[in-house]
Amino acid sequence: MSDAILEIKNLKTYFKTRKGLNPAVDGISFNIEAGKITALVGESGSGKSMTAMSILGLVPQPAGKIMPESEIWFEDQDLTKLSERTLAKIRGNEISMIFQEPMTSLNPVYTIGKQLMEPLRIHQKMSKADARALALKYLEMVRVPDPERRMSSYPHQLSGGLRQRVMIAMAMVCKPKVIIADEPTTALDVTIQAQILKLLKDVQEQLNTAILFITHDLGVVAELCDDVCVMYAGQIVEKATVEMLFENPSHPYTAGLLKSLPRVDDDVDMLYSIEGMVPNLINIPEGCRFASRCPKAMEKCREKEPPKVMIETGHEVHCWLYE
Amino acid sequence: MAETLLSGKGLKKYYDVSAKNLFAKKKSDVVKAVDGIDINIPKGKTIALVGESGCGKSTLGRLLIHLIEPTEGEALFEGKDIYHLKGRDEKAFRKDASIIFQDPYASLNPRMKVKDLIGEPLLTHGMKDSKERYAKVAELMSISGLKTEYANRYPHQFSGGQRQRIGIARALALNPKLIVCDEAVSALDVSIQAQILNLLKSLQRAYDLTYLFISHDLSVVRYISDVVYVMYLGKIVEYGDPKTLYASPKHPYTRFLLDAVPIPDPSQKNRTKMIVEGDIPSAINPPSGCRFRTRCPQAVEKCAAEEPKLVGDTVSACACHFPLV
Repeated sequence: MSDAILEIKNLKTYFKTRKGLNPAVDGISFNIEAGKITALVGESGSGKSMTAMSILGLVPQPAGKIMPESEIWFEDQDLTKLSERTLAKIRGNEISMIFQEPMTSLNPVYTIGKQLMEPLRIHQKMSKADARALALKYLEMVRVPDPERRMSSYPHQLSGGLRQRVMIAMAMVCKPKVIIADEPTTALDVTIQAQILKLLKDVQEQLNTAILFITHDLGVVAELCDDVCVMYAGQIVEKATVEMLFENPSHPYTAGLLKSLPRVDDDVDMLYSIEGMVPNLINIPEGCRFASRCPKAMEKCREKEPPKVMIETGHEVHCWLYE
Repeated sequence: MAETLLSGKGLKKYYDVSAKNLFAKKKSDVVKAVDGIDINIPKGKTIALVGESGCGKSTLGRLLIHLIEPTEGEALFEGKDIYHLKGRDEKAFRKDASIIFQDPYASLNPRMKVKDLIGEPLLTHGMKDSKERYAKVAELMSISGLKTEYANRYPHQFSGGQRQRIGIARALALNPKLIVCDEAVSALDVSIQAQILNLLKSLQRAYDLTYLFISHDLSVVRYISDVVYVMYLGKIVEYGDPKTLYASPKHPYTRFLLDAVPIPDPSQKNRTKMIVEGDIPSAINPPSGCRFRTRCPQAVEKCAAEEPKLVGDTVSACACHFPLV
């Protein structure tokens, strides 16, 4: 795949805990392509946010560690091997991030304008006047009403939807090649979520940025994304284009997840439910991590880790069923 | 139509938020969290309240089981006004109506064992004999899908889904007739959410329970409820059975709300959907007339001048001057 802008190979992020080593992210590989929105979907604790943190070099220290065999390739550099100083030049400039909670990720004591201008001043060494003009332009682009006045507002003076617009503007302002959006609409009401998703798509198309979209919401994935990686217990279990995944969900976990969704557009008599819960990662069972909850589990599944099987072009499943 | 278990009439809950500062200008600011609502909850059914944050759905839920005092209005539970119950009658009502909260982390006392958490309502209502009480607790735990050997554990030793099961066991302890589920599944992962929703449904069948299900999630509401009330800024804008309401919403707000829900099916990605502009206005000084008019694309002068009344019958109704067809 030549147009991959970010290549993640065998990423392992482990945490030292009192009870033992916790493999929060355990050997995942995937690519993010320019001009596409790639979804990383999974339930809480599946390791999706920690994947994002690993890419940005923001893994909590000293407990967390990216294992030496991991590789994250961005423009011929392995991000895992870069020094903090070089990484700081990339972070927020060429790879930026949108967080879930815009209230806690904006600084409450600085104005919106100052925070928007900061990356431009630091990364691009722009003059104050230029930075201000550009910041204003981006506030307009994310359709913040009355941007001139908003430049001098503080975060608490804005509603949740507006704050998230500001976050998007801030992530876009340096024209990054990759944006990592970690549950950017989860804290918002549905009508506001719809506005923000549309905005994100519009801006992404305008700038041709690659987006890694982290979410637990399969509805949002179907609506917005091009490619999907489904994560379970620190690993990717299925990887496909959105169309393939929803048309033909092949890993029993993905299939179960889709069947357990209540639908707004359809009547369901009894929801399917996946029994049990996510295993504790500290003492992970041998073999497939989903085996204990899987309705199709075989003996082999409990003994050996499942292979990665390409069931059609661009559709990879980690499961013994397709061997 | 089934017989009515609980009905609210003209319910209002205002909160005074005017500045109490000595130097503040004399100005009264009132949040009209619930502003004149009639609601009818039939026995054995699930009534859902949906709306976005700040629409007053939780406040209404709490009013209906008298956790808070209304500013105005009355609510009749099996014919008795719940706001004027005394002594034995009040205690009986507390037994009949219970609640499951959204956040199972915050709603369970971290220093109590599970058996005491679930047994507490039993103790309060006079089951002093500990042997009898713990036997009942064990029964409640197995009904709610918890292993009885966990009775001596503390809340932090459970996952989110299990904690919600503790909340359910506790709510069921006194054989209630009505349970208010306030965003009871919102904090849970999809696979766990499905387990809890199915549990709630089967409990309803087994014990003839009535639910008031408060949620912002329209997909969940469609799955679980018999009647849906849509709220916006303290008012009911529309109600009806979910099938008809979702297929042909009459109020523009309901339509916007439904269109905004992402559908897990990429083939519907390009369906025509309307996206509403702007934010929800503050409930302190809500817009005159129809409260949705500031965001409504079809609003005209009449909408600002005159408040639309809820027009319809017992099955469905809509509060809009120009309902959608």
